[in-house]
Amino acid sequence: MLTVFSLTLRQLTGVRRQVILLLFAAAPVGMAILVRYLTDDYTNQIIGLFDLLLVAAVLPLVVAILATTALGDDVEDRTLSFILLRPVARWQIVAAKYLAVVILGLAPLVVFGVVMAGVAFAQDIGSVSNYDEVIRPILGVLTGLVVGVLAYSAVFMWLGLISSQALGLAIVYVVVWEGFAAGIFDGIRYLSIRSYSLITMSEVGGESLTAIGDVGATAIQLQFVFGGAATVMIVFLALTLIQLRNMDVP
Amino acid sequence: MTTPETTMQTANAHNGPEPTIRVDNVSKWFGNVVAVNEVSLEIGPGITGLLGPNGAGKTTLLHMMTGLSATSRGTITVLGQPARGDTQLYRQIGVMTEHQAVYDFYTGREFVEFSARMHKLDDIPDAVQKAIESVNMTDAQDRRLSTYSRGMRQRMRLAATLVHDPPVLVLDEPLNGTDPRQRLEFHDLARRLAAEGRTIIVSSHILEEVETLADNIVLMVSGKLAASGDFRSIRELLDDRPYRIRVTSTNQRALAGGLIGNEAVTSVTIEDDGSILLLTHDLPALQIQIATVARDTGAILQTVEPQDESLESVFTYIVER
Repeated sequence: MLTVFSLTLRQLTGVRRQVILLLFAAAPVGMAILVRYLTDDYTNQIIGLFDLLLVAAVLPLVVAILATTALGDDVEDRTLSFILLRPVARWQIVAAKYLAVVILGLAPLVVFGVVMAGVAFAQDIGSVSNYDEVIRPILGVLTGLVVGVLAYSAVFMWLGLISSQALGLAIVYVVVWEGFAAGIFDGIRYLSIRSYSLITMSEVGGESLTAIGDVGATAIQLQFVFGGAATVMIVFLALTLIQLRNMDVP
Repeated sequence: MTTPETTMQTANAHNGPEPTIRVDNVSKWFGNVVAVNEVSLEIGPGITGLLGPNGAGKTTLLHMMTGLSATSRGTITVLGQPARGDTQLYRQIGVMTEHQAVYDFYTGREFVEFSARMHKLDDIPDAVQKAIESVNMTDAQDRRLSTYSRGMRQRMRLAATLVHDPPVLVLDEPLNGTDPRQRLEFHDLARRLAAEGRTIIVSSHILEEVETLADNIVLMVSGKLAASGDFRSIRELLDDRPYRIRVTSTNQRALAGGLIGNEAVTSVTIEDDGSILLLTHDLPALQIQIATVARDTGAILQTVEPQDESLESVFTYIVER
């Protein structure tokens, strides 16, 4: 398992891919810094950026770039047989690939997410240690990002295995389902990874993040969010495993 | 002459009591396309050449033998176990696919080490060194795979296939991209491995490539098992095939008349375009006779072209017999 994990890390850490990911992940921070220095009501505006930029766009995009290629590139360049023709259980391959995607996805998002939260909630350097106003919202952002990365990674990794157009399909899914449909129909929030992330941020982050993504108005409990995200993760990892076991390897 | 077995029958490409690989009435189709059609065969220790033109179904059959693809119908066992489903079987099989893709960021040695680690070998450095030495790539082992020539990549892929010392080797077009010296080295290595009692399957679309290598031949054409047996019997079939020669000259009628009844000529046909199509079983004799007849009839030869010499036509001829 460790061998596949380290192989996947090397596959996914090509210079060009990492530069693109870092640029994507850093974009919300740049915007947050601009907002902080250009406006007075910067906290609420940056909270808006958390939803519209970080959670709605950057998070799924960063994960999609990594997860759709974790197995998808192996299929495309026909190197999948190198790992499948070895005495390694298929679930270990899926687990190793998934773990690599989650770690590589979380790393830039967590770093830039924390910086962005700091820009939003820390009044000055002295206030950084304030639990309710700074540390708790940062923990909320972190937890929300973890929930989103775990769920999106499973969905997009499966997508990468079943389609050669996985990145495009992932973007369509994010725009249509997570953006458009979940924005219009309240019920879809129960089945939306974006909502899971936002609700987690709101619930864990406390008062400062109550308004994020307008989720304060929803009645979805944190337990349901964790259960929903875990279900998404388990179902799509299982689908990936089934596909890997049953597919004809090119 | 040994009569090769034909489609629909079980081909026995081994001499021992228990086959290493047993393919039982296997078919594979993709939608409406039948890639492998009711193939049955048994393969035992030694080198077996899986021969056929491109698109004959060789790779599909090998993929099913190695568990990479499921059969649409029929069963395949390797060492008595189903070929697909149990990953532990890969401790016993070394597979080299036809695709040349490798992890370019690895050095040759790292690539073989990767394979060794996947097999959880006890003494990885020793196994890696032996595998690399066996393909004569020691000098280049620390270079990145991206800098290798096609032939060098093939050899390092072969080293990664051999690193766990498997009793069964499945090699799909292993000589692609190799030069004549590398082919000779591969032949030596394959014979040495076979002499140790291994079962080795080597696929190729080039007849001559496996002629001097394989003990047995399995011939596939259009997804079907066309023939199998030792190479001599296949070669005799090929030698029995009439050659088709197209001839044009300044006096076609006179030349055709002179060739009729010639002992080197099986049949003479004047085609719609005016050219003469000759069938012969004795090509060297015809080459002499045609010049003599042309001189005697006063015809000046313009073209003498062999027809249908593609590998496809050679294989198709065997199937149609």
